[in-house]
Amino acid sequence: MYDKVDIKSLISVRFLTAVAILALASVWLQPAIQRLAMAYEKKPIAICRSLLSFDVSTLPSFSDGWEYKWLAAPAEDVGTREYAHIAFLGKTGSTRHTRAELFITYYSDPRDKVPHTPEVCARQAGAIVKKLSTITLDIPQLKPEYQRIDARLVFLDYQKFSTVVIYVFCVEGQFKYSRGQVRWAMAMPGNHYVYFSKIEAAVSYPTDGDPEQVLPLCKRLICEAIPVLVAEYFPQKQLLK
Amino acid sequence: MNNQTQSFEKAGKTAIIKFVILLALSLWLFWSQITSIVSASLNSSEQTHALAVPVAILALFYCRRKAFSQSRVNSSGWGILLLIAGIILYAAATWPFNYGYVRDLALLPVLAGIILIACGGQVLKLSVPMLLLVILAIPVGSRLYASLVIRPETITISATAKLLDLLPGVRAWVKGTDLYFSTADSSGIVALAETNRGSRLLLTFAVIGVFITFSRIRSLWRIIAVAIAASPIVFFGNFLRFLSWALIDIYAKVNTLSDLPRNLSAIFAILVVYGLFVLVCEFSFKFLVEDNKPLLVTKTAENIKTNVR
Repeated sequence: MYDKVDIKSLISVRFLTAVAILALASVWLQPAIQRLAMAYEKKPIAICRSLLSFDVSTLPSFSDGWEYKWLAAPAEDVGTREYAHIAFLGKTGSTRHTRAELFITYYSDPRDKVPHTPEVCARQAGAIVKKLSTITLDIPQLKPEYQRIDARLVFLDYQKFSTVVIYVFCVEGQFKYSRGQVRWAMAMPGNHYVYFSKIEAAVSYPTDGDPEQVLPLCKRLICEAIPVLVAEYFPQKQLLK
Repeated sequence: MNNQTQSFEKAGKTAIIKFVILLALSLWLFWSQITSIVSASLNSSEQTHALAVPVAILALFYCRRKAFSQSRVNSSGWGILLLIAGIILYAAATWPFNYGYVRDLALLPVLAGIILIACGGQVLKLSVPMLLLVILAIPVGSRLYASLVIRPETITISATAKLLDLLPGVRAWVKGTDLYFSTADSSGIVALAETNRGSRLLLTFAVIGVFITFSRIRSLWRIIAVAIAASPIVFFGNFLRFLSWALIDIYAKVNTLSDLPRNLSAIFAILVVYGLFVLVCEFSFKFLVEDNKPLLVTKTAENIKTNVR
């Protein structure tokens, strides 16, 4: 046996180091990670004002000439009880018969899953994704570092009508436009508390209509909602520490 | 047997022992990942190919045994770095970041590292196809997969609908991810209740491609040609799978929830993809490269011609 195997090579520093690294990692890595995760686990933080009491009059462009109604969905489907889903219907002028929707959800459990985004879940509801891109929103009411934020822009075709959707996530006070970015931001150590919210605005238009015509309205809806949410509803950054 | 051959064999056997020890330790480290991959493979038809991957790896090893036995065993210190990088990746993808797919992928640098430590760079180079198969065996998370396949799935479903619409007596239309059809005596939805119905078995097709491509030692040009053709073949295979499923649904009039259309269309598409990869691997691209042509034989043939003249 000994003359068939190179014993010297089997007790080489390189090989023994590799054995030691793997053995130590197998024994210690999981418990060590679990202890770290428990020690630094972020805690939930409640929303400052419930989204169920979202004040529509704080959206200047949608307080006059628009009818609105609250839409309900099972909390299990939304993944949280803290959400606002409001449908606006234009009553006057150029926006007559235009339908817009504002959908805001708030999650604060670190184990909460980041929800599906419209380009994924609207397809299950019968929509075809026509275009998916990123758009920059100018919101001067926010702090200087967030006055220009990137959001996702989706054009959906439901055959009988089409929809322009703009959505963005707010994670611990930072704006992110993809699920991956949200998960990354939530995982970053630093804050003691965690929350994230999805803010989604949608405007419908006829299938043969021009999406560019309703896009400004969709932008206006989300741009007016975000500063209100940041100022009155979401926990301030200093509370997260 | 001379001394050189003896020491060559000795080094080879020692390398195998080292590899087996390190592999066993890495399996211990990644045990929960491996069990979750196996359980995902047992529970999802989309992931069943992962069960065939160990067999495919052994088969590839057998096909390349000559090259492996001729390669020089030369342990490399870079393996330790790869090992540590893999473990750090695994740890980081567990906490603070919780990415299951990345955690599974951390197995790769660890495997590459142990090959380098036990056997060296030449063996690692020969093992690249096996590592590719390991990547393809790792299940992509359902949410990640759903967001990645939006475009190919949309194109596949709408292309199938357009083609079906051309058939006499068939009307087909798309609503979201549903492909509806109606004929004079039947109507329904293709692949009803199937998740990602317009984009399935992509990884299975890719496994077939990798296996066929690397079952022989091929020139770099040939591998590049296959790599270029791989994506179109995989997506074409997926299109054929969905189209044949629709045709079975329309013409065979089986129960919409029956397994028959799914299984038949999958087998058909797998056979076509297999054939296409074989074609690309074996087709003689004389205009591009003179591939798989042993130089000695050509010269001998030329000599014979000259002599005959």
